[in-house]
Amino acid sequence: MSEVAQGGATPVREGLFREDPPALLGARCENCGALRFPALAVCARCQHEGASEVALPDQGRVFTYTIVHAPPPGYAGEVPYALGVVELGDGLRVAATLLAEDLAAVRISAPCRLELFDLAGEDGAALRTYGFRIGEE
Amino acid sequence: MAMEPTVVSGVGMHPFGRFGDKSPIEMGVEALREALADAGIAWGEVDALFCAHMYAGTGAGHKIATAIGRTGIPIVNVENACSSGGAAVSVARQAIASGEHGVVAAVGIEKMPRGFMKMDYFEPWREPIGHAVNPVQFAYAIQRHMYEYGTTERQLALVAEKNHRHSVHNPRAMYQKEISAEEVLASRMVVDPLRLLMLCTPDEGAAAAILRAGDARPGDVSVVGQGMATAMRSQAIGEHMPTDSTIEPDVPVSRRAAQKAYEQAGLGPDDLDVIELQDTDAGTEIIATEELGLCAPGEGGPLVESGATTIGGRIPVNPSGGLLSKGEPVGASALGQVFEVVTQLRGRAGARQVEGARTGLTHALGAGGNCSVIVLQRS
Ligand SMILES: [Zn+2]
Repeated sequence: MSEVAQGGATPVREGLFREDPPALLGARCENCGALRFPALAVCARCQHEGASEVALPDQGRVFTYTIVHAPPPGYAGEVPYALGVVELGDGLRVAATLLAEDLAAVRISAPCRLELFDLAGEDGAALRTYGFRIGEE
Repeated sequence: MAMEPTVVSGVGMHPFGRFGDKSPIEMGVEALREALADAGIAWGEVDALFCAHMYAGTGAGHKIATAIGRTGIPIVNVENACSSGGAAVSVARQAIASGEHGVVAAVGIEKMPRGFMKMDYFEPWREPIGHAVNPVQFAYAIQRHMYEYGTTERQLALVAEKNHRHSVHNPRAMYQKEISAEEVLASRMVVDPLRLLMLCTPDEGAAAAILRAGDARPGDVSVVGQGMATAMRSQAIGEHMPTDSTIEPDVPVSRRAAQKAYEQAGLGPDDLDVIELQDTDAGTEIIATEELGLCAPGEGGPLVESGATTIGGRIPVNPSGGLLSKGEPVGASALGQVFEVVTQLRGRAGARQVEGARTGLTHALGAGGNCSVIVLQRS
């Protein structure tokens, strides 16, 4: 967590996403083309070592979700909050926070779009992370 | 792969619950001594010890040996999260099948912190953003199931009601009282759609089994098949807690582990009389009944509603009260299932006895996306 992101917030982990335009950063295997998120040099399909960084699609649909009502250990945000699995258009699903003004809008198959947002981290330093905001059908 | 059946010559269980300052080692010693007495053998006759646990620290099995007697045998500690006991039985069985040992002991022990499990399985960055919560996976699974098949919250509540009804007759369960579906539905929401009384409690306890080589005599219960498997990248939801998954056809881990166990045992789900499965939560029980082949995909909700999985029904599930009633001391829980099924197959389960049970199955699922299914049969 060395690099300070825009607005003074620190990314929760280096290499998860880029800021402008916002995108999750995956790895595409240079041998078989398989994607993975977060990026890792070794391919999980063919075990080839060598992958290029790729910006994942910023839109998808909710495959499944839950609303968490009790704060888990070490969580820096507020409850309740939504988590889900988002199906992206390129053969990959990713686990993500789901964002909505009203959490009742979170539904399976709902369209959603990537959004970076901040949580209050330890000693007041904002922690930047990623989510998908539920949109209109 | 074919493997000779292994006789389970004794079982023991320290109750599951909360026991103050009592250490998991002490509980393990009690469970092990009960299993030895049940098998009618002395500790000195045991050739090797396999100790399943997740929280008991360095050399847990070795500390049990310190307490019970250092006979100099090999001791191996086994960690496979909630499925640790299944893994211990697997290695114990292989130690016998290979011919290396004639009598081995498997013991599972645990003493867990309260509340949401803080798991070092997760990469540290997932914790502050609230992604390091394993019950979330159970919620994902049943939420998707409700969407695909119309499974209802009431059916989830009926799982808890049934297991608590069974627990009334299990003096070793943490909770031994009936809880109605209405009470379950009135309990607070934890991870939507799972409410507090649809989720098992982490707790403490121990269970043990003695396995031996040689032919089974009439009345003996044997492990006749076991399958272990892990989730693949195509499985979007599960205790491998994936950050990503691929969109392609997938056979979930429980189904694959069960297939291996059935193949090895040379029988199928229709041959089963009693089942102890991983009801970490009510949703997992519904889905597991399908993945173990007790009913068709999507029929797990109607199955519990029909009463088929109640003691006296077509295929009783979790006659012990399950993890919902016993709690889940993760290192001990899978051996606790073995204790229950062996007790049932011997006809010694008292008021919770499944009449005439001859063939049974245990199913444990754990972090890392690992599953163990064991098929047991009475000769
Ligand atoms: Zn590859």
